[in-house]
Amino acid sequence: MRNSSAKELALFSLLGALTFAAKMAMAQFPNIEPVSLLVMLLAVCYGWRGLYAVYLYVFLEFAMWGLGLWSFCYLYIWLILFILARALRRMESPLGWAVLSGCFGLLFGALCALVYWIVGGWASAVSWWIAGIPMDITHGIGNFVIALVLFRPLRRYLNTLNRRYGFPAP
Amino acid sequence: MKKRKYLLTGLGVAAFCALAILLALVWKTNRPSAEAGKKQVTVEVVHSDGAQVEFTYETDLEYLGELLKEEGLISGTESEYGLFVDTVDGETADYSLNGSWWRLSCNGTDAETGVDGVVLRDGDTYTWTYTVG
Repeated sequence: MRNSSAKELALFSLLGALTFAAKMAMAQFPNIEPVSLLVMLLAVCYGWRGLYAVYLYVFLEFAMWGLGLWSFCYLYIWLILFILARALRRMESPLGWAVLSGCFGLLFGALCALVYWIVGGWASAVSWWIAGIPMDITHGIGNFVIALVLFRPLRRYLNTLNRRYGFPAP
Repeated sequence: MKKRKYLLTGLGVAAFCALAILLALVWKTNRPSAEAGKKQVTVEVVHSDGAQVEFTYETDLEYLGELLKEEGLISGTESEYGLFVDTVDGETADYSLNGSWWRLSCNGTDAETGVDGVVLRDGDTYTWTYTVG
């Protein structure tokens, strides 16, 4: 980040902290989370610079909960969603974004199981994944509904704010 | 063009539903099934000072959580995931205080579910270990 960067630094710090705060605020609803929605919005509205905010959020998670096997999963799982959202950035349909977010939620356990496969082998990964499937289904449905309702209005709102405060489109 | 977009979105929604149904089927066919009849199981507790206590139970119950709650060996907070255990054999682990928690293992391997999801099997040994960090 160069000169205009103080502004960007502040913005992405705020967005990363906001993502973490939103996650904590919804912690009482198991596996219903706003992070997937916000990661997609960061990818679409800020381009690759949005990764600053994503990894600030990841860092805050580590700082709050400490490190464990799940931490390795957090290092790549949000990046996968970010890359997919970046690839689909021209998509307008809220239903399309809901499908992406929903499928990501459904596959969250399977993607995290990669860590358990490396550490404990195939059987450990599969049994860990299967035990968590009910939570993945809740996660997928929650993601689908949240993205369907909120993705389009928040995307417009962020783009308006970006224009108003002079943040270039990605 | 518009028609193609609708078609793609429709296919996406169908794929999402199919994936959810597929996952539900995988879970239904693979979840651990309970074992009926009498079972004898051993529960070991490793306390913070290293002291080990062993309990043996004979039971017709099907899940470890129900057995240990009935026996008064564990307590904690009920959540949507089941019981979050903070006290075992009278000793409380407080993660917010010193990063301590109760690790549950079944026959030497870390449990893959919470205590409420652990299926009791005859001859199994379950171990609660006071763990820090």
